Amino acid sequence: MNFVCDIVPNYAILVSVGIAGMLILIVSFLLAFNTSQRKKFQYQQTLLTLKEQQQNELIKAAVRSEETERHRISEELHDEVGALLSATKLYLSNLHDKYGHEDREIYTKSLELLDESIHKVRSISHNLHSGILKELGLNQALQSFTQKINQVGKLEVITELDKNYSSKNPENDITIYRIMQELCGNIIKHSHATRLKITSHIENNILTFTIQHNGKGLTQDEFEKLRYEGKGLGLKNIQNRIILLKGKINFERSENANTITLIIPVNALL
Amino acid sequence: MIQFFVQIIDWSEAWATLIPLSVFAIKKTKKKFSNPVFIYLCVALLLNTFADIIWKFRPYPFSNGDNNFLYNIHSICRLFLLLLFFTGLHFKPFKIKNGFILLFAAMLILINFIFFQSFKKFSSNLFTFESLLLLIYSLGYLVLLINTDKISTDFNPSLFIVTGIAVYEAVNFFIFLFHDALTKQNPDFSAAIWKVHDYVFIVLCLFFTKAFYGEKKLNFQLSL
Repeated sequence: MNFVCDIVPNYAILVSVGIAGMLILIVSFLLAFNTSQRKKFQYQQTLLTLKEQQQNELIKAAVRSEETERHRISEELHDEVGALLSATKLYLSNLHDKYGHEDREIYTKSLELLDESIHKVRSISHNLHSGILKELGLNQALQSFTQKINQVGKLEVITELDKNYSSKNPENDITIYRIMQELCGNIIKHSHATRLKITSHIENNILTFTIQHNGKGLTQDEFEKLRYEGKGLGLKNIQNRIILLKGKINFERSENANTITLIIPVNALL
Repeated sequence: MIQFFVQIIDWSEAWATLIPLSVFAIKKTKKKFSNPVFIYLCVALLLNTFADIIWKFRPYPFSNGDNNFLYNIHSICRLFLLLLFFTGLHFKPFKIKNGFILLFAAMLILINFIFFQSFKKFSSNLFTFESLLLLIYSLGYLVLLINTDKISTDFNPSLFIVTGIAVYEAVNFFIFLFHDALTKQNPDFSAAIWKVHDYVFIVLCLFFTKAFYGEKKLNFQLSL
């Protein structure tokens, strides 16, 4: 009598238990897989956020140091070079009665050039200095800037700024001002525009600047390309400052007018 | 009504393949690595339809309704085409090349049908071997993904195909393993349990459909 050989397994039970076991195993495995991938995804997202924060801090530090340097150069120009030029003018004026009749023209021309130099130094110094921004606000500073770049017969600048915008953080206003300065500077240098219109609008905590001109404009793709090719340092600066403001910039080119739109969330300005 | 439902399930092996195939035909973007899966589905459609016709209508010369040889062909095609799919993913769970695995599998199948089992009968050995090998490949691929540090936020169709294969082969492993013995011991239960295979085959086709359909703006595509 061999009992072991007589025992025939019940295959129906075996198969049922096997299917249930495999089903539990595969579902557990897939759940574990899903959890692991989710954790990895969250970890990657945290790393990305940290990287972004670090990048923003670096940009902020770079922008701040640039502004400090501008401030320093502006003061040096105003206080040192400006003072020297004014003293030179004073000394030159003392020569008023001491030159001969034939030297009068040279004297007058020297005085004119000196006056022009003093004026230029003052203008550069004011451009670099953000004092007007801190004292009068962004809108006033932009009005003053556009008045300076307005050239009768060459470039007509129209400014329509939203009066409802009130500055909440002067540092961010400086950032916006520098972006506008760089954009307008680029338009004057490269686009050969004859008409330039700057408008601003604030709605639902979104500050929107629109710059329209009739010169040679850029498309968004061209802007991205120039920025990545490393040809335009100014464009890189613009992008960095926009990242800092958590804003967006958009370039559009059309037959009638080229439009640059700058969208800045006001909450980010706080 | 129940009879109608039974009929639908009986023919499920044929119509289920039409779901991913129609999505594959509609979708414009096609990944190269999914071509073996597409070929498999076409082969499965033909073989399963033919098998169901033999079983239901018993046309001449298959008057006895024996369609087991078609299931054997189906299993061989599934094994080789899905192994080709894994080769397309550049995945190899063993240290040797996938080509050698394919050759080894072909040799084992030949030996099985020459010396051990008839090709005309349902081969538990073949199905179990196919199930085991594809299970190793699919679970190995998922383990590889677990061990990979980087994770892409892009939709990954191969993940759905592999998950479908893993589910299908895992659930059917014991059905295939004991099919011959179960048919002899308890034919009614054997026929009933084959329905589980039919349901899981529909699930496999749905996973393939999702892979072919692609992403529908999911925030996290790895939710299974």
